[in-house]
Amino acid sequence: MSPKQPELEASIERWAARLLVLCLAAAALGWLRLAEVLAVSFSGLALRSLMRSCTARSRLQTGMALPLMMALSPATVWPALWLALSVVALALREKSWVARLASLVTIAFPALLLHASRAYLQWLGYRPFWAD
Amino acid sequence: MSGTSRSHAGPLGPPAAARPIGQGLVDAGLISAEQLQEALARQRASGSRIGQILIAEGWVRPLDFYRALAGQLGLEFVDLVQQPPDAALFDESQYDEYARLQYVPWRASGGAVTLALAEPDEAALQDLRSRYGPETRFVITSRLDILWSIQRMAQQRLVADAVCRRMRLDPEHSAADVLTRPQAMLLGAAAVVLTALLIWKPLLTLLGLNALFGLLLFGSFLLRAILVWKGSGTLYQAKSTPEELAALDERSLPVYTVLVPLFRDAAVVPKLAAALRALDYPRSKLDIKLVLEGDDAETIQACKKAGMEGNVELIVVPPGLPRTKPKALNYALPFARGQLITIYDAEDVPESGQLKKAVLAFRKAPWEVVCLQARLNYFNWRENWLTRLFTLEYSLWFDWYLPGLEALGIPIPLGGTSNHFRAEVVRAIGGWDPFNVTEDADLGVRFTMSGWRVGVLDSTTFEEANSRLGNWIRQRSRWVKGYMQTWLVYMRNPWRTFRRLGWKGFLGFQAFVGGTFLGPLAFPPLTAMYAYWLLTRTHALDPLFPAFVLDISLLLLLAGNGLLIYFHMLAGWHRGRHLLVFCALQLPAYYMLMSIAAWKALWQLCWRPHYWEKTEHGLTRVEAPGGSDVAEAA
Repeated sequence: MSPKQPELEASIERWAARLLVLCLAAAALGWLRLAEVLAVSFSGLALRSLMRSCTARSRLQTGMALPLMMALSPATVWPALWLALSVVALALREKSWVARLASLVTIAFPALLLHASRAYLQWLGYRPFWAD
Repeated sequence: MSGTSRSHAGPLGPPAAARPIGQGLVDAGLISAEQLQEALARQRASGSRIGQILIAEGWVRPLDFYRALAGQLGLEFVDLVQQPPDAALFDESQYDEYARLQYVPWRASGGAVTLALAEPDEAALQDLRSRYGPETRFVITSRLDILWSIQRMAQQRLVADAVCRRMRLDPEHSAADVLTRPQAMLLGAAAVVLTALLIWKPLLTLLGLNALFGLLLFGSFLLRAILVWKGSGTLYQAKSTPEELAALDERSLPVYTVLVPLFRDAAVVPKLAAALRALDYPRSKLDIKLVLEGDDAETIQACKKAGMEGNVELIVVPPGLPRTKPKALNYALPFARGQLITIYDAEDVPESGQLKKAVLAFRKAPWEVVCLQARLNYFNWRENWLTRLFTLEYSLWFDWYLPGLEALGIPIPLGGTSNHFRAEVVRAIGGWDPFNVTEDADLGVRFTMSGWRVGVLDSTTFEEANSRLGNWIRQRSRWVKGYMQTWLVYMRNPWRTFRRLGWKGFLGFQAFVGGTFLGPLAFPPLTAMYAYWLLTRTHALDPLFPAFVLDISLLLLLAGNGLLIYFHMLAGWHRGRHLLVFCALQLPAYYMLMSIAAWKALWQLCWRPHYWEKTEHGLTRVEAPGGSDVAEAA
């Protein structure tokens, strides 16, 4: 990693964070089209960081990107699928099967959590305000 | 020892034609020519004195060296064990100065004082002459003799200061009293009001309590999520490069004091010796103090037999209460010669380059950074279920939470070992609180309260994770009790704490320090309530969960617990311990153990607030890493 690399990665991390905040704000305001575009941009940046530098933050961001796109609207299903396939490809780079599986889990877990939470709330028959 | 009494009143220095001290030692057969050549090479690299190098490497006995030094300077050598200093000349209140300048007043005759000193450089001599008068005479003794004499002659004062100095300097922030009178009155009043409310409006009161706990726990979770986000940032994960470390000029390195408090740790002394030996720092600039308890003969013997180098000194703390690690550290503090100080536990295996990394980090950090906390992790993480979960917890705490706290400017509760300090600041604030059983957490908050800052060092110390349940509960209950003490101490005057920490620091302190014991305390009743509802689907609990409380509770149950598990997974992955990613799913069971420890801590806080639950070390069957393994694991 060149001396400038951490600064570059940090700058990309900051941009990704801004995109995430804007995306959540747009979704809260009901501007779904804008939120979709921002979510896809955020996911793209997160994946780029994960592919290039594999930093702790990029793994966290990619892990959040997947449920974000899945939750936002049906229109982002295709980018979400593309992201999922990229993550699988990335996991296959690892040296052992334990590492490959662990790599997948560290990215897919939030999406699984979202699904499990939805299923639980459905079973409960209750919809909290934050689920809307 | 010289039979004739020769002492010196004029300027010191070898006669022009005198042989260098190293050559004198070779001629006397005390060291070999090869050792001298090696020592000279190291002297060129490190800038240390030849004597310090020879002693630190264990190539010459300190007594032999100082005797030769006395001979070279034309002074008498005295063995202070055989010829102790005159008690009438020894001023107990000056022990700090004796230790700093490495001397003790030895004899007086004809109006002139003779001082026994170990570091006879011109600056020290001038300083001493200005105190004791121009007729002051000097004799040479060894550093160990000085250390021994001060400990023997100022013992009572040393113990009293170790216990009381911090309390004298800052009585309001001493944990000697668990509760102050206003705190006790407030707590009593709150208990009365709560009982009255429970009788008068039971459902409404329980609903209020439920909502309050929900909000507090949500705040604690929210902070942890923000910490993970901030702490995972690239800039907080890498601070020094190998190139920068390689470029460090050893001559510019300061003397570094390593304090290692030991108590009933005889079993791990050989491992400790190996870990200290592996430190990549000029030995002549390492001042290692093993701090022992006077009645722990087994560990004292083990240290004496470990064959450690001449830069390792034993400090023996007289037995007495409170028998705590901070008291031992306070006792040893006056003897620390380093500009920087660090603390290691008996079972620690620090990354070999940690001290150099700390020097570099201090140089790059702003002046107000006075302490750096290295990351802690476990070498025996594979051993059993408990060590795996413990390692996950530590990985998240030290690798993600602490950098997050640093980034946000929230007080960092230090981690007990591998904290690196600027010595002068630790002395200025009176050392550690001997009544706080997590003196480290207290010190971290106190630094921030005093306007200083604590940073995180990108170097890892590996420890032995507790592999036995009972031992783990004892250790954890002490930690939780210490966090309770720390919270109570800094909440004696919440307004002042708020003003000194700022709103971010204050809220962070509440959520991080307060949340650390509130969460485990609340976990069993909340889990029991949830389990009861799940099994019976009763409507009896409905009044306690109106929509807004239910929404927060569900958010905590699903997103809170789920994301905390996820953060632990990431921390395990980031450490390269892939197996731990799957173990994170078992965290709820681990939380239950934490709750047991937290309730035990609360019980002890009431009945034995200053009791130090001793953690037994050396129980693992896993071999501690050494050499390059440590760097690789880090």
